[in-house]
Amino acid sequence: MKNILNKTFFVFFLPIASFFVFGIVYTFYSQKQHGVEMIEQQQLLQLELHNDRLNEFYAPLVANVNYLAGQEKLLKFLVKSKGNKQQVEQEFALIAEAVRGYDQIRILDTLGIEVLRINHNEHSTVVLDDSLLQDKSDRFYFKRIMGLDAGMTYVGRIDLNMEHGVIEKPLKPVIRVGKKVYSANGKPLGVVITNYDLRDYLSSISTSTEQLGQLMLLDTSGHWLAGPAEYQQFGQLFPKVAKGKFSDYFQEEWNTVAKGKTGTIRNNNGLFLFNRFVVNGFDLGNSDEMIFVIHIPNSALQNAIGALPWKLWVSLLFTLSVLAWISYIITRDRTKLQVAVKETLKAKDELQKANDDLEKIVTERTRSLQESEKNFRTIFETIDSGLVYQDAEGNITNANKAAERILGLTMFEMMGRTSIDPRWRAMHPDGTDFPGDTHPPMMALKTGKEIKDEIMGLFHPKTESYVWIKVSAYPVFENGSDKPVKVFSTFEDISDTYLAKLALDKSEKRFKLSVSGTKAGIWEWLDVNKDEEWWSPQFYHLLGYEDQEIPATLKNFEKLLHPDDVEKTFAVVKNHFAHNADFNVEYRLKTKSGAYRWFLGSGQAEWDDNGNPITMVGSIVDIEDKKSLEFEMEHKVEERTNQLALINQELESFSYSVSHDLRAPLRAVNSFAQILHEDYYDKLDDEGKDTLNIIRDNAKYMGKLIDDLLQFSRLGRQDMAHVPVSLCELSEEVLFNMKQSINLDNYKIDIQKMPRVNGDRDLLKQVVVNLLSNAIKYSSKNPHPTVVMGATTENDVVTYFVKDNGVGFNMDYADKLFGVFQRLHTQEEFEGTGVGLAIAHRIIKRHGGKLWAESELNKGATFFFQL
Amino acid sequence: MENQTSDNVELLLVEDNPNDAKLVKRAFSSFNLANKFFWVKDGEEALNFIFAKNEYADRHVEDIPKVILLDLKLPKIGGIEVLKRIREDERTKTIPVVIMTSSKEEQDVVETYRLGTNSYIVKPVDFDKFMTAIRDVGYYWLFTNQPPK
Repeated sequence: MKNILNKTFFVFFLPIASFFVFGIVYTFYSQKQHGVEMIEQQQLLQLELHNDRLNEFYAPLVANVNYLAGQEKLLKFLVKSKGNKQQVEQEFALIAEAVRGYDQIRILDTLGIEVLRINHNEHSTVVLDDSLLQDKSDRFYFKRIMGLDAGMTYVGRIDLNMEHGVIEKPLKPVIRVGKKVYSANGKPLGVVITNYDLRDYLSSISTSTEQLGQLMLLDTSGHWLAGPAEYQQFGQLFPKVAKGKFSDYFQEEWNTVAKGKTGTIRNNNGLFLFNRFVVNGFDLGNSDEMIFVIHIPNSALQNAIGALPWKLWVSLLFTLSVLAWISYIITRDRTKLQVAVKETLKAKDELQKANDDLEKIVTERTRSLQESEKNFRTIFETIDSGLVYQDAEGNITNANKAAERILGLTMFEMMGRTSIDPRWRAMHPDGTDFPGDTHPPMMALKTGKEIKDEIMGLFHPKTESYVWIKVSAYPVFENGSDKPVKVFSTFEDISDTYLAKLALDKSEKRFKLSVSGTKAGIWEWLDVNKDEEWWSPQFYHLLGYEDQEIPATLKNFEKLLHPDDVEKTFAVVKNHFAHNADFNVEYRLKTKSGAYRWFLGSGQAEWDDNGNPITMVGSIVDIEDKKSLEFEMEHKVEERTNQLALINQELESFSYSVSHDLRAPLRAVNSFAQILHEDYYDKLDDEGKDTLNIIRDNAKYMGKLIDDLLQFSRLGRQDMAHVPVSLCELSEEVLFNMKQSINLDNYKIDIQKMPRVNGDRDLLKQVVVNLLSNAIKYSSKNPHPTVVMGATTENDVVTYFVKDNGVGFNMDYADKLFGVFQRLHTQEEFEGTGVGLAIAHRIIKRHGGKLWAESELNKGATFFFQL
Repeated sequence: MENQTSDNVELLLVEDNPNDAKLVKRAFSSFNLANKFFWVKDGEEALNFIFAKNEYADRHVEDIPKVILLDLKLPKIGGIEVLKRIREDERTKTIPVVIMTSSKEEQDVVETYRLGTNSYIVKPVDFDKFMTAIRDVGYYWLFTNQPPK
């Protein structure tokens, strides 16, 4: 069935079905349009009917008012007031009875005061007592009537009745008709007004079932006088209550309605028809006009026109079904044939294709077999590994070129040989004999299992040495047999790597031995980009750990490192990486017990071609003992220094005491000897005088001794300056000062040019003073005393000298020259304390130089010094 | 050295060594100033004299000497302390003080100048030099210098 509902079916069915459906629907819509027009006509007619019907209420009212206004009795009553009131009342009551629906009939005087009033309801007619009459002068209708020309009648629109100025409840819609009453001479006397109760009429039109849609009556401002709901009516009288008006709901429509006399509006809100109400023969005037409106909402309009009649639907369905059936019949036979042909053709194609595929596969297989055979052959012949086939008895049946090369035998020599042939000489890696029946191929044949990677040494007849091969043997089975029919062996020459490995093993063993034998802990940073190290067992032991007790990582090393040594250590490593600088650093490592020990760490990195460090090896050596010795030494040195400082201080106070306390008694001796000399000299005999002089001389000498000694002792403590000093200037200055106290006129003193030196000016001056005064003193006995001071330079070393032609000294005593209080002459020969040269010697030593002298007795002396 | 009077003293010598005192007095004898010379033996007595206390209570502080020769090494109260007290008091701080000592130690010199000494002489062992030094100093402070009034 599915196959039948195919294209062909729809080609037949769709155009015909569309044509029919279009025709039917078009007919329906034109009918519908026509229906709306019909309703419009109908409703306009309705409006005219309503107009006429309302007119029917007005016509008799107008006639009655005209009649009443012309009554002689009324004129009289109005002229003579109360005179004929009863007659008038009777007349009016009659009319009220005659015309059912009158609500009130009234007569007002020209001031608008009711003078007579008859109320009428369904049951009775009542003439009101004078006391109940009301003032209606304010009411619009009174003013309108009074404003009319003579002879004209007021015809009012629908309005609500009011009593005493208040709207009567329940609401009572009325229409009013009135007229002025004139005297014979045309003077207005009053007004006749009738109210007609319109409730019945209004309820009848609003409940009318004949009416299609809503009939409404509007005033000229758009308020409902009769309309959709009671609460919406008379909006103009209830301005405080939002009841709305027609224009609030239908503003657009109202714009049209307010302007025209009659017309039709058709829009989204439905159909509107309107007509201005006209009382036959009367123009109501603008303010009292009324408009009839009929509103038929779209829904009501559709209802009125009626839905698509069910018959239409049925006929449509029926037509479509018939069409479908016809289409099906026509297409069925055609489709069946087409399907059969198609399937036959397809089967043929498939057969052809299968045939082709098969052919292709056969070709491909053949080709790949040829190729694989070729590949295999190539591999067999060119592969580096030796390949050997042996039959079930172990006879070699085939071998490749590599096998010939590795085994050192030609194919021809090998053919027919078995593994157990005694000509094979084989050994195990450990050097023991490798019997033929245990060779891998034989074992594979025996056990039927693969033998993998067995290493054996085979005697190579051409090189006459052992070749090391790694052999694997694979047994080959034929269908179903559980005993191998042949065996296939592969092997490679591993002599190079095997021998290398042997060597490596040996060196590793040596390394291990050395590592375990050394006192140093060895570490290796395997990859400087990774946190992986290797620490030797000794490394661990040095730190109090078992071998590998903690992971050997840089991070752990850093943890062990004393915090104060981290920066220093890594700086050394960094420098080593960057410049291959010496990696030797002393640091403290935390041992397992928590105590730190001193180690000497050293290492050596390896770099790649780009100069980036790759690995590093190194060692740590425990130097705790050495370190503690060092500390002890330092401590001792410090202690000694302190002791020395203390001694120095003591010495200082000692010399202070010496200078102060020794000098005072000396001064006393000296001074009082002098006083004795001044005051009593003439009273002493010669011996007494000599004695006194001895006392004075010795006191003076002792004073000088003390001064020199003090100066000498002060030298050791005094701070030294280091400034450039000219020895020439210094010497001239010294000589100048000397000449103040000593006569040097017969001396020949030669001060030569000398290089400047760096040193303490005051101290160097003392040296010059001492050396020059020494030279002058000891040459004083020469009749032509000569002193020379100068310098010689040799190999950048300057040697200064002071030379005299004095008495000189015996070089045997040269070692005593510079000792304190050491003298080579007596006080009688040459005065002196024996401190001067000691001072000079000490000063030069403090400058880091040396002082020495050369002389021969009676041939002068030369003092040399270097700074 | 006896018979000295504490009135109208122009030169006050503070010296614990009687020998030195005698020599100083001898040096000044040539100026004919024996009556205006007064010797005290230690720092305490010096301060009592200067500030008119205890045995010198009948003196007036305002009656200041023209110059004080002050030895540094003194029993009881040292020369530096004496100098300090003189300089601290408004009434006495303008008195010229000449430090006299056997020592040349640097520290002493610096300290006394800091405290406002007017000059400093080292007592030489040699008699003539000693006499000359004392006379020079005395002459300057007694006759040349015009003290502020």
